[in-house]
Amino acid sequence: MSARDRFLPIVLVLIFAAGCLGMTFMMPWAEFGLLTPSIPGSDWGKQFADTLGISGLLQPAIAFVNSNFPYLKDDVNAPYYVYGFFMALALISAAIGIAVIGREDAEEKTVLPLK
Amino acid sequence: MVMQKLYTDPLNKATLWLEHWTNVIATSKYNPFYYHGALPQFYLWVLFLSGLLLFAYYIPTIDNAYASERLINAWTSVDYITKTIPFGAVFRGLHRYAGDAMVLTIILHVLRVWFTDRYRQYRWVQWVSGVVLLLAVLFIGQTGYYLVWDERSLLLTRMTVSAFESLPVIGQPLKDWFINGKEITNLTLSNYLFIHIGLSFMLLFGLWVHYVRMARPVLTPPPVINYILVAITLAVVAMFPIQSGTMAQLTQTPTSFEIDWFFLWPYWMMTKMSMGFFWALMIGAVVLFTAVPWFVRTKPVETAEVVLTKCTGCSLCDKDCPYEAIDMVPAPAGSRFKLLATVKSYRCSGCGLCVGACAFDAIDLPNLLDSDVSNQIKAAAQS
Repeated sequence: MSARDRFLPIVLVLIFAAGCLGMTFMMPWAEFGLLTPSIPGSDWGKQFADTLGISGLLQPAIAFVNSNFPYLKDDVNAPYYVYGFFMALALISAAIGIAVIGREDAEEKTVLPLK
Repeated sequence: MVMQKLYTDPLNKATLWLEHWTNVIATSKYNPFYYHGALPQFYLWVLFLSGLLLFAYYIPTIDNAYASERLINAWTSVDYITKTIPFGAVFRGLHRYAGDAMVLTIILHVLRVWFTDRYRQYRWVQWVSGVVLLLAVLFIGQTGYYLVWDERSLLLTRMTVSAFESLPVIGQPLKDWFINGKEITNLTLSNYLFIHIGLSFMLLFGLWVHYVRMARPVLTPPPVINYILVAITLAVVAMFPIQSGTMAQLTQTPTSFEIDWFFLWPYWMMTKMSMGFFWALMIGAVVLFTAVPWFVRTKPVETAEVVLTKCTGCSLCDKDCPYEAIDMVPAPAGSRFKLLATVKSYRCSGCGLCVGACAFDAIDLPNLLDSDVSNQIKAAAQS
């Protein structure tokens, strides 16, 4: 396989690895309640996010959760459901990334011996 | 044979077309159609693990005399799991939707083996054991709905009791066994829990029977497919959170309930017809479904035969046979070799793989030409 042919799989793997890590990163913030502002979140989590200076990074995720899970507004389990949802996205990113890497091995290699 | 071809040929071609295009997108390594039997089994492991957590907190009693003081019974323990245990609601949802997904993947499995004509002749044991497993899964799933002990559970219990009572001779004992006595008590939920968990473990024995005639059954899908199956289930849990109804009160009679079409469709049927007709329909459907492999008459299988004077007992045919149809037995006294291959004709599919495996021309399909055997082996390898 030439370097040019390898370029696309490597880029795809990097994209999906970044997606997987990003979604995994969202999971603890979802559990703290930081992505579901209608539910009182963890003060410790908020302070930690402020200290790290990443509160702004969470805004797109908060907007996403508010627009896609409006029915969780009054649900005490909202952080856990959102955690599960981001875990699902991380798993899908990981699965696609692994499939891209493993694609090469998937070629049929059945050889019938002549008798 | 002609009728069989008329029905299955277009469906077989459609299935193979779908599999071909899935291969183009996902490659054969990650094609879920090639793991159609392993998909429900993966969901079984998800159900076992999520069920373990629910079991740790579940209290199988109906006693609600002190419910106002939040004293525990089945409903309040489920409520506690859902609202208080961290991730309890997610695990409960995972357990519920993995059950639905298991039924869905079993249906896909059945359609796949039917469309590709892999349910008859030497495969009848797999078909019949599969029907028993499907019925067991449906019953286990229904008992899961009784365990929550909300109004729907009470209504389903009463409908089941009515259904059993309508059966002649065995009706009354069956009803007494089902509710664990003459009336609904705390012991009723103990019995439901026993059926739900005990029968689930019995599935493992059923699966052994299902696999016993296969040399290399595919038991688990690759991790990529497992990840996606869990991801889909988790996403559904978040999109459709599980809600319990109000706590069951024995003094009240609920009249309607939300139906889960994967498991509770028999109860919908009960509301649409008389009990006699319901049982006749259900029993008739199960008998017909079980007997499907014998509906289609085909030529008998041309089984492989061992040429005793040439067999060296090398076991290559035994290792290659996909159907456990070859046994290696001690060679007769005076033989130069220790072992001898024998063919169990009732398990042999006549596929010819053993003929291809043998380096000594010691096993043969006597009624087929060599070219036909080669074509069969190529077809088997490609499939």
